[in-house]
Amino acid sequence: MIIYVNPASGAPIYLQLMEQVKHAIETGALRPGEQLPSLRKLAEELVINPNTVVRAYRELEHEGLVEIRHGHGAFVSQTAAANRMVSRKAQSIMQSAVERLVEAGLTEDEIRRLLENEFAQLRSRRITVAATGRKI
Amino acid sequence: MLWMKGWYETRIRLLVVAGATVLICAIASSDSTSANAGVSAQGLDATTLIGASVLAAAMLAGAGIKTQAGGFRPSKGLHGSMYYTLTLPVSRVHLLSVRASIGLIETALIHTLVCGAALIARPALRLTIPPADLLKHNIGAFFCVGAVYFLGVFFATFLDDYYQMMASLFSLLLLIVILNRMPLPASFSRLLLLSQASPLITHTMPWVGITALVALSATLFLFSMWIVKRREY
Amino acid sequence: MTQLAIETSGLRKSFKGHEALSGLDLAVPRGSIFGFLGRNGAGKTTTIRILMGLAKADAGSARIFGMKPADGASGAAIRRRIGFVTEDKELYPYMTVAEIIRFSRPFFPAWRLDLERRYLKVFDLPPNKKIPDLSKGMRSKLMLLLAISRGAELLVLDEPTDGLDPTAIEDVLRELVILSASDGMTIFFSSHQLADVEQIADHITIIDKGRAIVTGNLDDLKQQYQRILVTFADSVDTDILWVDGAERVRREGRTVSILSRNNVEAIVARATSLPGATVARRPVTLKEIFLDHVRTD
Repeated sequence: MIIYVNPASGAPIYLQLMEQVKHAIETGALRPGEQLPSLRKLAEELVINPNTVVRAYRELEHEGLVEIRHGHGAFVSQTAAANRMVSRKAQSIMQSAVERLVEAGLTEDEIRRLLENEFAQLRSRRITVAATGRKI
Repeated sequence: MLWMKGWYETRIRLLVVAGATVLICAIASSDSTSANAGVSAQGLDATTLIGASVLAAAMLAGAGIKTQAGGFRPSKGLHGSMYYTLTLPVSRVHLLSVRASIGLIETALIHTLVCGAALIARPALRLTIPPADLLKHNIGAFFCVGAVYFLGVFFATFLDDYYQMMASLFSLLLLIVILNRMPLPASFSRLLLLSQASPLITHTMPWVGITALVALSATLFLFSMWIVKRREY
Repeated sequence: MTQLAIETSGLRKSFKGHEALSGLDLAVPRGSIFGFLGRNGAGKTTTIRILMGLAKADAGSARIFGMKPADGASGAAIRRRIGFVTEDKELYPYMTVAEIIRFSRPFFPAWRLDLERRYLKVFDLPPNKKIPDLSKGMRSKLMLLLAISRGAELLVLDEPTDGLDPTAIEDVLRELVILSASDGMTIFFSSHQLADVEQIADHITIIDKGRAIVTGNLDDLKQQYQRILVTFADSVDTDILWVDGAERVRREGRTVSILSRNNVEAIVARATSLPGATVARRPVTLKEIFLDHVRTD
């Protein structure tokens, strides 16, 4: 499994890590029961703060995707498979929506802004949207 | 390791001072007193050469806590490597003590050199003065030189190299001038310059003088420690 | 045993009438990699001098491992546990690399021979080269070797990657990260290289004019800070957008940019409610946070 992070992107590194692990689970690069790279190894390879890795793994555990076994490391949880189903479905919804908007003549940026606006509208109308990244 | 480092930093300076001392002694010996002159005249002569020791003391004292380079490179303020030394797990007092000790030993070496030179350049000395007296004189003189050294150490805690030397020598000059003009009891002024109270005349060690000089040196050193502890870098 | 490796409270220091520190509060947790950022003259070096016992604060307190950095035996005891890399990277000009290592070893009973050997190799330091003949980058690496090999629990680094090329910088950052992961080392470093800080720091403090103006966990800060871009169909008075929490409001034509940490949702809601407004949110980089806070508007 190959992980890249961009420290200068503005997105917190631990979130980037989480996204990549989730993506790996979704695409099958990481299977349930498989071990994630060790804390020290990942920190050393990516040259990032080990506490960042800890936070990412803990958050993933919080979301049920990963199990941390003390002294042994972090492993993809069995329920990750179920979560994969949900995200597969979400992915297809998104895919068709984007395709239709592109057909309507919108650019990538316009679609992105539409999405931001939509979230903002939802929030201002006090409809809760399930967040993808939980706040600490 | 601090001793080794101190030696590294001062050895060039020591060499230069030793060379200068030899030169001074050589020049001074060219106008030697005649062998028939009296003891006091001889004594005065020997004392004059001690002046070279004094000069050396002033110069060697400058290798204090501030200077990091050997030789006579003028130190513009602090050297960067000073930060490394000061952040080592040693107290500043310890650093100063080691440095001062090295300089004192070097001063003693020069002093021995000067005394030896005096004997060589003034064969008359060996003839007219009993060697025990001469030894006592030289030892007593060393305490004088030592006081000058610690004066230099004191100045070195807050002055750069050249200024420290100037300050030391200037202070000495001032002291001599003042003492010559002041109506002091005869023994006192001579104590410091070791002329009349010199063992050459009394045939005993000038214990009072030595005690006074040691006290003076200690006081100067205490002041130096106090300054070094309070300094900011 | 305190949880903070370094702690300062209301630190004040003036030199010749100029106030270098005007009430600095710092809290560096043990085991963290702490980035200390600020412009030149903001007070970073003064703070480090006080922490290393080179200068004394006029007011306030500074504690390392819960103790005051003083001179004498107690100060020496603290300094035995700290590795220090100075800003100008100057060492004794008459020594070689091997000599200064040999010189330093006896001062530190906890000296790590394994780390010394590792860094000699990883940093590629020539043992018999005289220190003045080393490039600035090599001297930085040598100082790092000396700082880390002493078996310290805390590293205080002033511009540790100064003079290093990108591969060397990556090497140094990697070694620091490894130290943090394996030894739980606390690393406090001040740097102008925001990219370095952004990569390995987990906590930061930005100091400006002698005071801390931004402090926090780096990930949290990046999540909390958002840039909200509002584009209007027609020109509009930006005062409407000065909601509580809007930190830097800039206007360029019909687009307004707001940097905000607190109350982001309220600002977004407010902006969206305005007629003809399109709202977009962008994540914020450390550089933006830094520049926006130290630049005077």
